[in-house]
Amino acid sequence: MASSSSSSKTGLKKMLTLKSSDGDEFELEESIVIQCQTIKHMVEDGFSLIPLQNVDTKTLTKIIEYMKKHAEKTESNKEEIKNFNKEFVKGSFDDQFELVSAANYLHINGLMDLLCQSIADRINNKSVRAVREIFNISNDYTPDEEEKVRDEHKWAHEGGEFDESLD
Amino acid sequence: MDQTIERSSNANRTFRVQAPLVDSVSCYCNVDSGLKTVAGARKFVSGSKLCIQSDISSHAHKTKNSRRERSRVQPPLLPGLPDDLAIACLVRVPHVEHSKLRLVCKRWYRLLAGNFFYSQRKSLGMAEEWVYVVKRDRDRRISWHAFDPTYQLWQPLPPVPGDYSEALGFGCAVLSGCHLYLFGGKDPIKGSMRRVIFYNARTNKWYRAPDMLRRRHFFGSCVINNCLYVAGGECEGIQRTLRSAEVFDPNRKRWSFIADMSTAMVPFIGVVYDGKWFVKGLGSHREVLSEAYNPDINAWSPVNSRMVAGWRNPSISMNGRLYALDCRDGCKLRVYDESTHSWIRFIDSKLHLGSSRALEAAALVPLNGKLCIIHNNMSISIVDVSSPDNQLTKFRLYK
Repeated sequence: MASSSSSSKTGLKKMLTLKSSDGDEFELEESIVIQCQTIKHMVEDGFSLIPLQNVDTKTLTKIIEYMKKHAEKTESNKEEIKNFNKEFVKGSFDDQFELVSAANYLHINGLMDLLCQSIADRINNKSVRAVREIFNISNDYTPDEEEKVRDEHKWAHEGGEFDESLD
Repeated sequence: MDQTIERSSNANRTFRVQAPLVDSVSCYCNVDSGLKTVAGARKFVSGSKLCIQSDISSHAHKTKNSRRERSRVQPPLLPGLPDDLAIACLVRVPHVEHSKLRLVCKRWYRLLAGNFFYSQRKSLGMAEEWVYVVKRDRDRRISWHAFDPTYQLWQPLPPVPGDYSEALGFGCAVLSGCHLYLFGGKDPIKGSMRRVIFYNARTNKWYRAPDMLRRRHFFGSCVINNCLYVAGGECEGIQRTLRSAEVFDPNRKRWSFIADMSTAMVPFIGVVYDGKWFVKGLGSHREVLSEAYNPDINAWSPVNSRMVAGWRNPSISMNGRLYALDCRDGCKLRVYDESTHSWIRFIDSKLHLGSSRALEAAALVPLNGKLCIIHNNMSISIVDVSSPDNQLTKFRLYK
């Protein structure tokens, strides 16, 4: 892939090692890993073993899967990447939240966008009650307060049918 | 109120179009469709306005809020995520869902009431442009409707405050990207008004703003650098036709007079083009007049160019070019050519919709970089002016 050939010596691909918070090590080509801004900066500073204390093995495995796939990105496999992304964001909120935190920590912008958008999309067309259930948010409005807020926005709800399901 | 909306949806009466706003980028708006001839100018409102967005001024309570938030333990926005990441997710929820977000819990309500949420949306390119349209029923009442181009949905706005429910000849413009202002106009009972109100697309509510200095209706207006300019028009009394002009700066929340026009006029068309505000209207002896206002030197000057001579309502200034209709339904467009000083054919979509009043184009507004044609029946066509051969046409009828 197009990447920092400056550090690749005599055709040999430069390898880096990522170490998860559980102590597991993953060896990867530099060209894949530098999608991640945080690591890119460490590589520029001369590191080749990168300890990631905020990322556990399970999350790091997923992130490596994402980076590998996206390193293959070309003009012709857009559809494939799109399908990969769609599959990638399936999973429990716990896993997704772990991934968002890791993507944020590692500064992988594309992954941040993908995950945040997928979490946001869970809200679309859902009823208020379903949104609370999905995200485990407790309703701190009194019935009167809630009615008042509802009144403020009743014009926006007319004719709208909301989905009460939780998926 | 349901009744009003019901009625309005059945009525194909004159309406005005107000351009994108929500938490949007830039917009134009254009007024009454009814005006087809110069003689009609006195009966209908007219004119078009440029509205440019700038940042919303931050409110003092913002800092108060964050202080309060820091000093109190409160539940996370999204349990399981730090708040900054929760916000990164929530700003990606489309505007059409925002009223629902406010209902989820108090923290979400406060998040959406603050400026941070919307400035984040803007900086991430999530801000949306919507089209706002005002419509007049057969019983003369007006109502506003918003078109969300992403989901192709029309939504009613909360009812216009009483003073404006039957007003004629008022102005409308978008300031600060999300505030839809209504100003001046004539109430059937109270007569000419100085009244100014605005709708905040972020809170979905109407508010009062400082009155104009002069009562006026059927005047011209435009927005330059997020300041609202009004000029001319009429006022009941001895001096019917007005020369005076005023400007409103939303940051200072104050109206002040600018230079008078050289002649009193009732403008029926206007546009901001080449840094100047062009208006064309009827003088006190019903003669057609044209003037241009230069905000840099605060001066009006008469204009007598071929641009003005061939200029018809509705028109729009977009990416530095001036467009107008070449067929009443908007199937053909003209553009003003600077080099030959003439209006030339720009697009012929070969998709003539028909000649009925309902299909006539009422206004042209910019929408997400494209030119949006609003028809009297509230259907919308969208033209990509950057690639005239690749015309994209969409239609959406109201209900």
